Amino acid sequence: MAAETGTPTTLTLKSNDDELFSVAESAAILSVTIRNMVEDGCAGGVIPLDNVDGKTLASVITYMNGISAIPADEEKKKSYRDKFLSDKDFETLADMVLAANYLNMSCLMDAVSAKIAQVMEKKSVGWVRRKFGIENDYTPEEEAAVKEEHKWTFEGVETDDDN
Amino acid sequence: MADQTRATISAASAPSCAAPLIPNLPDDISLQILARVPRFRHPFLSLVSKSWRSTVNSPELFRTRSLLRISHFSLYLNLRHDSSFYWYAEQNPQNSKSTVVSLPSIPHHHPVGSSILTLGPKIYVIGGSINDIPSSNVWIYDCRFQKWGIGPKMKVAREFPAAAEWNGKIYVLGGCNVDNWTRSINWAEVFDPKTGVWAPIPSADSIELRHKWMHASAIIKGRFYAMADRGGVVYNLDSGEWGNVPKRLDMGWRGRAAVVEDVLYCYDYLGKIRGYDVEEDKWRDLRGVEKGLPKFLCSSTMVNLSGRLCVVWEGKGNGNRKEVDVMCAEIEVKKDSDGGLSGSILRVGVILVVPKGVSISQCLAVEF
Repeated sequence: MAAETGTPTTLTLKSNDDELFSVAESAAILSVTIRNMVEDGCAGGVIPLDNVDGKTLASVITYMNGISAIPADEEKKKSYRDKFLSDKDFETLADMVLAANYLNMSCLMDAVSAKIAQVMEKKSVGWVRRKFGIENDYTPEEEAAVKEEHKWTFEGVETDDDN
Repeated sequence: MADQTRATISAASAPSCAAPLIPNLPDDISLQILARVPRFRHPFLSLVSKSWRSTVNSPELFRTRSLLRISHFSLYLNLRHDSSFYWYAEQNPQNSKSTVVSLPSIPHHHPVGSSILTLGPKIYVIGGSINDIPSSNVWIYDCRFQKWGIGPKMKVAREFPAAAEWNGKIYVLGGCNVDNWTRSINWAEVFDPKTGVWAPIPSADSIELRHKWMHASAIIKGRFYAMADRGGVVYNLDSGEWGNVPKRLDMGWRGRAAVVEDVLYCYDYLGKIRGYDVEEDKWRDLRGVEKGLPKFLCSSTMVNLSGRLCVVWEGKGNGNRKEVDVMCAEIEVKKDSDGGLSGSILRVGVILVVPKGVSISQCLAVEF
């Protein structure tokens, strides 16, 4: 592999909308899915990633390159992750959590789940339903009963649904 | 009433569990996301849909939270009015209107002189007497589901025992007569919640305090300190050895204490919070908090709340003679380079207003 030839190995990744990306093998193997392909010797040509679109894959590769450039310093890696996710909107985060799961990247998976939870924390129930596309399957009576159970929690709390 | 509602909803939601929690996401990922939402927001999650509600109340969610080490500590209060006890919990730090809510009481008589402690998300009410008869009952409140239940009984009945949690087990001693063989060998007991079994801890007849009530207890550096009205006993939780409480610790320990970073803090009833260092066998005043706190902290009690010293006391009640304010201060404490102890107050204020005659019995830190 890379160490034997002295030149960094580059892999080519293909998104499900046929975009091609070049990425250093050392960064790409942060994904256990890709690492397994490399180890099994199936990474010779183009690696197709059927569950990730080009826009998301570009983001993931930016992350792979960024995080692998940081030496083993958990603090610095954490602050990189925070910064990397800070400007991502909700839809992008949802795509990334799926991609991270498919690519089996636990560090990205953890960071994105935490970020989504953090975004959800400040939103109303209606916002969460809309964004996730969840149908409200409560009858008005049932919904009132659940509210009544936790009455105190729904008083005096403000949500910021605009952003 | 509430239970009926609960039953109706869960019965109705049972068949619909095939729908994913979040469309297009596998449920295990959704669980990872939901688990990371702070606990005080869980009721909001419950409102999203029926499947979210059952997930929020599921053991899997709490297991995930523990594994992720994101569970957090909340303040719980036990208040007393004559022989009745009331439970309250601080629910939502972001809620400006009501921070403290009332919880259900023990469904039978609340014992007097029980020892109360927490283990993870559960509050244990151990022993105590009902109508002056000591009890071996253990009541357990699961803070996640707001439900009381009765746990395995101790081998002996106790009132005013000393009790503490260490490495997931509960240690209880004293508060019982040692006038027969069973009581003598079970004077100290340990409970393992995993097996649900109480087992005796060997203790010598020579321990002088075996017939006494215990008024305070704490664990410092793997040693369980139990204090009677005068004198106390120390049990080394690793070696199983018994010993005497250092005289200075005995003389200075007043009321309920809290251990933060191996220092035992208590209020000396003269206006000072003091900390005791076992290694040095020395009491020191907690510096830097005088300005932020009233001169006297009436009926103060304290607890370690996520590494901070949390002090709860009775305030004046805003000039209203019919009411009492329950006050709370959260203090970050540290050891200075000169060995002294200093604190900075992170928050202080009224958390609850109660009728006069109600007193603070204890405050607890519950983790879930």
